[in-house]
Amino acid sequence: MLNTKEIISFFKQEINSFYFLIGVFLAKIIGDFLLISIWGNVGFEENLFWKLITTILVVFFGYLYINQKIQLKIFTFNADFDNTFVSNLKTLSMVYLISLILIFIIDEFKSYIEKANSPFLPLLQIFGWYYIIVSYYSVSLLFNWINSKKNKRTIAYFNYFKITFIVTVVYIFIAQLINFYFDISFLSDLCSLLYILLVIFLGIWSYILPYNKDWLSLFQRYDLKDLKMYLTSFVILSLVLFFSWVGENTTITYSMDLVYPEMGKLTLLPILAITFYGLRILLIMPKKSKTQQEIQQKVDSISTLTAFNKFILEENMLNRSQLLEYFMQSLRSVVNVDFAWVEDYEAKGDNRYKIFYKVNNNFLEQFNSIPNIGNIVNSIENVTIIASIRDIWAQIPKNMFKGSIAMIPIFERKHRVGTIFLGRKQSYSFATEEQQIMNTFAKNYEVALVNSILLQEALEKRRYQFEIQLAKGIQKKIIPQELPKIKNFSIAGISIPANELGGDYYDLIHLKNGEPTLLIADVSGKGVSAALYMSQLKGIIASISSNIQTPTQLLENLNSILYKHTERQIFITLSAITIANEKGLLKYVRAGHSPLIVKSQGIILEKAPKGIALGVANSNIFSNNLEEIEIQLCKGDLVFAYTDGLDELKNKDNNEYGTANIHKIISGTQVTKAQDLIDETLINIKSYMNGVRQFDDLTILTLLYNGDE
Amino acid sequence: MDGIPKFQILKDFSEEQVFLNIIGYLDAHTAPELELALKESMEKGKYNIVVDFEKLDYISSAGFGVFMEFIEEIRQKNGDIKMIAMNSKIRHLFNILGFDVLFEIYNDKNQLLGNN
Repeated sequence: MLNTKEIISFFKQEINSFYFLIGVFLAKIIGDFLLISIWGNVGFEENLFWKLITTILVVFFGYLYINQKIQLKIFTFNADFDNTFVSNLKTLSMVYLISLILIFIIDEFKSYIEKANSPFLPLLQIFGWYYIIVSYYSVSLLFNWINSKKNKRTIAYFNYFKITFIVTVVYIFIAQLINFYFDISFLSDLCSLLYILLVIFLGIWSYILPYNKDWLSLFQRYDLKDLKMYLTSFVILSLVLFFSWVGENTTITYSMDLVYPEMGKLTLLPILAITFYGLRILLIMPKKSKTQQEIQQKVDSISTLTAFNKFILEENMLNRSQLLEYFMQSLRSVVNVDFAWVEDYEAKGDNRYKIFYKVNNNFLEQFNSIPNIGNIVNSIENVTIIASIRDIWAQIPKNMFKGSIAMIPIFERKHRVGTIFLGRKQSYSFATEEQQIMNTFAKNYEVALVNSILLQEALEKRRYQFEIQLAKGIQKKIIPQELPKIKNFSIAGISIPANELGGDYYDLIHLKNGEPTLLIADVSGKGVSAALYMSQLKGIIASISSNIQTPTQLLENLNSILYKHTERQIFITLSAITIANEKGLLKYVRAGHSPLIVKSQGIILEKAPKGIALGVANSNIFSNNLEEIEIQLCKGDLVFAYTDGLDELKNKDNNEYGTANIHKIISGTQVTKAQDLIDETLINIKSYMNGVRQFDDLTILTLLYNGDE
Repeated sequence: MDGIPKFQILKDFSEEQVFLNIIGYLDAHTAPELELALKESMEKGKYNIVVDFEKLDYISSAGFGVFMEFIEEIRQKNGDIKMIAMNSKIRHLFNILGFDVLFEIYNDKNQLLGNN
């Protein structure tokens, strides 16, 4: 046994409904043919029952097939009315033109068949079927047009159309049958009278229906001249067709009478409605092209948009839920809606639906329980009208609401953060203009937000720059601008950071016994972090130096503090040069720092006693590998200390400056004071770099022994 | 340097000793790659690491920092980072910084294996 589901799915297959359509259609034609040829010229009424059954079957399978094949459905929502109007109009005009031409062909055939007294008269019903399809095509287009503008007026119109249709069906298929077989004319007469009244009123209503601003959007979409031309030709064609259709014995009704008597009365309804509908649109067009209202709506939306952007920028508010709420309210003031709510995806749990306007939780729960709704909402990328998603539309319980919802996806930097839902209770349309406004708002939201973020970043950058300048000022004070004078010695130093802040350090301190000690150091890394460690180093040195006896002790103490308190990957190289007496004796220790260059009586020497950089080895290892040496200077001897920023300087060819160049300068420069050597070095490296950017912090410390006078 | 990466590490985890062949420029930008490689080795439970410096052209303080960061933990697990085949410039830097006393540095693989 077949169950209902199987039967339905069987007929839902296009090919099956097609075979059945052809089958019953052939059966009907053959039956009609046989009725005439066997029983002679039988009147229509004599085989009403046969015609009724076969007509219903053909209509049923035809409907199934057309729905599947052409997707021509009455009452499908099409949000694209404005965009497809003209192309639909063209097609319909073509169909009507063919309908009119067919009249002459039918007349020719008819007179030929009648003259020949041929039994092929029923074949003329093929033309009747064509007109039935034309009528069906007309009604589905009309309904889709009107449907896209759905409001209270259109709903009432639909209901009226349905009543007229039902009365006509009763009149044609039931009253006639009863009248014929039982000879009761009362029902037939009543229906006939009702039919005439209903048809007249349908014409009037079809005419007055498109007098609403919903339809005005059409005139902005197309060139008015073109639109007028298409509409005029359509209206002329449809009027001619209408007058060829209406009446008792027109060719068109004749061909349909062969299908079923009085069929023409039913198929007339859509032609009538669409004719007067089209006529009205044509007539209201010129004077209503741009109403004040339309312009006003645009002005409103632009000023709202501007206000919204100003709001985002001035409030500096990055609280998303408030932003979304303000956004929803802005949109609501431009697009007239009955209710609205926001889904905020960044919010947690219940807060996701915290923002709403005239919506209750019950409704939201119901809405969110629609199967698959979450996925669909997540997947939309543009403004979407919910009625245009057929799967969803079919699932919404009819008692839930009869209107429509526009879904506006909200993005922030391409990241989906929310959806705004705008709803109408009585209309499931949003005019194309309104959809455009929503789209514009949504795009604007993204742009405005990015702008505000950029502005904030710019402000922060400015603040950062300001703070860097402050830090630079502080750092300048850490590094001495002028070194104190020491008897018999000339000392000079310079430190040039590669960026705003540097990690190099030099200083002159005094140990516990009063011995002046020159320090030069380089914190690993560059920029802000190095500068911070450098400040820390300065602090540590300042706090411990007055208790320290020897440079070795200083380095050991520094190492043990830094080893305990800094991250392992940070290390500091440092050289300490203590001036032990006024007679040119130096004590030198080195913690991983670049070797000291000494020019002693004209000879260049590099002094590199053992020593590990500060902060990486424990006290034992550090002390065991630290070597202190003494250097005895003679009059005119030079000492040159530097950080690796100097010898690793690079020129255009990516070659390092190297120590050889330093040696050359030291040996080649006539020095009267320590600063001379620095000046000469700076001139030399400037010409070496020749515009290449300095990559690392660079520090030089020079010392000249003037001899004991 | 078109198309040629600034820094590359060839990792060989097949033997008991992990071999990391570091190539190119090891500076603040590329140091995280070496960091990841050392972490990977430690996650695999392999603490005996040999770093091959043969094709390393440059090492900055950030590069040295990576070795300092992990050496203590590795030694606590009875492992070590040993270094081989440094060019003279980098070897000189190790000496200057005093890091040559913190790490075992060998001229080449043979010397390393002979020593073990």
